[in-house]
Amino acid sequence: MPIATDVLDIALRVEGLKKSFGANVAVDDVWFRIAKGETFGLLGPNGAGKTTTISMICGLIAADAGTVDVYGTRIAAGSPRGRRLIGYVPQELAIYPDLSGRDNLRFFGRLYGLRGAEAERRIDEVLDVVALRDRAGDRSEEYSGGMKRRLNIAAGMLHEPRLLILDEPTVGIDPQSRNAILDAVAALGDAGLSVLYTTHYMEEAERLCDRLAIMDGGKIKATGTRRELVSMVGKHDVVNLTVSRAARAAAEGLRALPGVRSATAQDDRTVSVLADGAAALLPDIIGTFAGTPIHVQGVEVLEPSLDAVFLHLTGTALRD
Amino acid sequence: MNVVVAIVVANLRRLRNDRTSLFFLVIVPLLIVYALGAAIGGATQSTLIGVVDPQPTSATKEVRTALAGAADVRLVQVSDAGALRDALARRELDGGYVVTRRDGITTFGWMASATSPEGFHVAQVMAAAVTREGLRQRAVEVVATGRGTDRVSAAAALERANAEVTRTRVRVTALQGAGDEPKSVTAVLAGGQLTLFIFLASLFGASNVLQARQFGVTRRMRAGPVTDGLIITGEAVSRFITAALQALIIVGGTVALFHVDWGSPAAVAALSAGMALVGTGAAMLLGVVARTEQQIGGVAMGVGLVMAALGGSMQPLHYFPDAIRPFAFITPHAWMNDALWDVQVNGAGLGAVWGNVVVLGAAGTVLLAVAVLAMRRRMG
Amino acid sequence: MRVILDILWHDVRARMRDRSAIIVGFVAPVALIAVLSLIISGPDTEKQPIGVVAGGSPTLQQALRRGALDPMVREGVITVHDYPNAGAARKAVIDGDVDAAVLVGDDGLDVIHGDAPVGSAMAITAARATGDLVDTVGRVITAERILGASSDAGVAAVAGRLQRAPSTVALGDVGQKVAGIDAKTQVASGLATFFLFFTVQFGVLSLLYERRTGTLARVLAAPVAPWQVLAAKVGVSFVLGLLSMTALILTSRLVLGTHWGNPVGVALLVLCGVLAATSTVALVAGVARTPEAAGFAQSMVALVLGILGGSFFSMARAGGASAVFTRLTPHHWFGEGLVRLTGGASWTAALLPCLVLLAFAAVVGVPGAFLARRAVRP
Repeated sequence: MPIATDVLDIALRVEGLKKSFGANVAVDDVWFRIAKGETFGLLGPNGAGKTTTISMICGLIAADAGTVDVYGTRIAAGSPRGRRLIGYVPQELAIYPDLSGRDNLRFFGRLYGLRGAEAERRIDEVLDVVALRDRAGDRSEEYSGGMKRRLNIAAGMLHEPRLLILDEPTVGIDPQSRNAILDAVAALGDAGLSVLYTTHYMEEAERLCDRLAIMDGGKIKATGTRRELVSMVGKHDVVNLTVSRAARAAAEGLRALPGVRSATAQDDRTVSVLADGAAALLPDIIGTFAGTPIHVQGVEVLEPSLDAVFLHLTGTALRD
Repeated sequence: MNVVVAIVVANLRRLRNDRTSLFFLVIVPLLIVYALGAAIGGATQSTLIGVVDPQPTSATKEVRTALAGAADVRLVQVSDAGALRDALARRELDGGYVVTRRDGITTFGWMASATSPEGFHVAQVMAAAVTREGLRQRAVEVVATGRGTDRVSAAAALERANAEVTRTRVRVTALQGAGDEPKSVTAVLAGGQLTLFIFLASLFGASNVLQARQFGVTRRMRAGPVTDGLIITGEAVSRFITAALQALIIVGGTVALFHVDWGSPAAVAALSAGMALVGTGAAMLLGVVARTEQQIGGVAMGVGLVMAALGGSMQPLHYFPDAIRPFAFITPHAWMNDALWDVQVNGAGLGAVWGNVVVLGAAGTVLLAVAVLAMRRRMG
Repeated sequence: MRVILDILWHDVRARMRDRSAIIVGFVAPVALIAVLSLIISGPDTEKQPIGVVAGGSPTLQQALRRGALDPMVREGVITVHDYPNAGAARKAVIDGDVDAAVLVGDDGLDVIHGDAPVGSAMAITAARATGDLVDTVGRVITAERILGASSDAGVAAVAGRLQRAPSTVALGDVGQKVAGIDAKTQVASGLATFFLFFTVQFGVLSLLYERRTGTLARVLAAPVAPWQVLAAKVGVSFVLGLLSMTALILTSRLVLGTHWGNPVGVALLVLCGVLAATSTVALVAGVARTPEAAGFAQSMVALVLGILGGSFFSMARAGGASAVFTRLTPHHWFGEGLVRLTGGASWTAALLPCLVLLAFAAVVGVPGAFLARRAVRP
């Protein structure tokens, strides 16, 4: 376990965070730690509470309960203490469209006390990292969607934060820009920056993160390295069945089958099955529908993966 | 035709759901007319003259009576010279005089704001009244000393002489409808506001045209079995109805709330329709040319208010300096306000102002034609 | 403090760049002030032209010119134009060359006038005064005859005696001037304050826009306290308002020749007035939930306060409820301050209006700032 005990080796310590909006409990007793230099993924579907958690970590909203410490500094809503340690990249674009990329960075740099020659040097550096240097003088509203995202990220790492928080930075952009962003984040992680990365894309989490937390319904369901998480589901495999109709009824039937851990209808025609040893069980699974009006039209066996873990922990597949 | 109706109905629905537009359409014009009425303080625009005369005598009463008899003068009792000075500085009064007594001489001191010319002619009236009173006393003095009699006999002789002497005839004739001061200033000012708001409401409607473009509604409509001509017609009819609605709200509201007498309904309706057409053309043009709603808001406020000011909606054309008045008529506002004055002041009917209606209609048609050409070019 | 200035400067530059504040805070009011000041310099500021037709009774002719018109000419309120006959004078009136004409007959005077009210009234006054003078001379001569004198006294001699005789009434220093606010300055100050309430919205209300676009969250994630962000945005409103008022006052003074009075007093008034305007927009930002609603509410506040406060037309003569309403608006007190300052009063004359403006700012702004904290505290 790479969890450090020295307080200064802990980039982020989140303990017992809670937040409700009215009757809706958005974040429910969340605990986790990020070690120095670690890239940590917060994985969960839309509405899991990821953004609320991040907002509390950044001090943007006050927690109902719990504490956040960044490198030993307590973060509190409304207080600037410790903010300099954090670089925050919000989920939505947060840049001024009528300013050039460089002027955006100048402004956000100033908020962190960056000015003069030092600011210009840092701006050039981050522009290089996000590959925007040759377009830095153009108004950001003229950028493509991917370029805006990259500028959005650049603004968060300008002041050399020790903990970079990226909230779903790749939502809704083209594959090329997405790769550029992932490469940049991977490079930052390799360079020793601590990163908190939220996503609902499984493959991003697998590619980037040293450790992961799976979040659903405001709770952390599990935390660990990819290997640790996958081992939780053991030798279980995920079988995705495409059926002609009535997926719900099909899932119902499958749950009765010995060796099937869970079966969930994902939509009208897809059933996800978590099973012990898919290869052996497959004939039984297909045989279940003999004599019923439901026909199996497709079978897909997934190797043990975070998908399987997610399904195991939350009962739903992680999709858009 | 169904397409046009559909576009108009959709536009009117959107108008109904838009609190901002309703506020500008209903509350603001009525509030302005109300405030105008309140500012002027009643039906006529009298010249207000302050009088500081704590102990009136027969002589000061003579002067006061003479002033009260002058046209459009209202006298206001003021406690002392300081209060008169303050009121003049605030332009609450147009002028005033202070009666002082020393060594048996009653002095009438005129006071006016250095920058407020309205009371000047009243000053002349006061001077004339004081002079007349002085003359009366002097006549007694001259007769008494000249004939060596006492003043009572002299005054009695003068009184008898008064009956014998034929008074110098002073006859006053007004030419060319002179004295055509408005019956109700509120009516004239409401007329100016009617012109202003028909045009302003139309210009704000330009954002509808822009939104249709931006929201892609126009594209979607064009994808259907609808000609560009019908789309443009639908939009234009919507703008016209909005402008006409504005006219109806102002006329109806001012009649119901402030009992404004608008004069010939046919003339007011025809002029409003002409102005509504001008507004329609201007709105369509602005909607095609503008890129953002902010631009439309800015242009509407700026152009709408400046043209209204120049066109006599804030100060009746009648009171414009002669050198400026001709320039007012480059605005459609002036053509409407000019005709409204005729209708409200001289009781003119549609027959007397149809020329102005034609000018408005022509201006509106030209604007609309330019807008349609621009739209077709943009669509094509 | 530095971070407040950073945000403030950033925002002020942004508003200058997108030109919206320049249009609302400068271009539109300047254009409107220019047009209005052109059209309100009405006919009354000139000398009224009055025509006089030669001929008729020499006594009346002389009495009219020497006794009535000459003093008015000396007073600088009329000019006299001579016409050879009634037809020419009538034509001059119809053409508007003169406001009115006086025709002298053998036994009386005829005044013909057009629709210029002031010139007409002056001509009528002059004619009546002439009649008074001639009648009085006639009465004196008749009275003396009644008292048994031989009626050898000529008209001129009697008129001279009348002039020398004492009376108990006299004209004081007619034409004594009270320095007041002139019409141009009144228009300029009214419109400047009217547009001020639109201009200030570009500061505080950007909080609501930025909350929507997400940049506010980013700013708040920086080492900046929420109150600093709020202070900066309020500061933007204040600075934009100040820039607008200063530019409008200077422009209208240099270009249109308006008179504003003691500079220190005007500066104080402007500061307090801008503070009052900023306070209203803070309250609106605190109450409104969306930027659109806030923009609408601020326009409403600006319009209602402006109209009732006499921005477009003086409410000085309003009575009843309107007189009370108008005194509740900052616009009224700004105007009141100017009235006190014009005419050379020292800056202290503006103190009371300034205090009222500050009180308005406090009453509206303190709850406004309290509520507006919501905008920076998600």
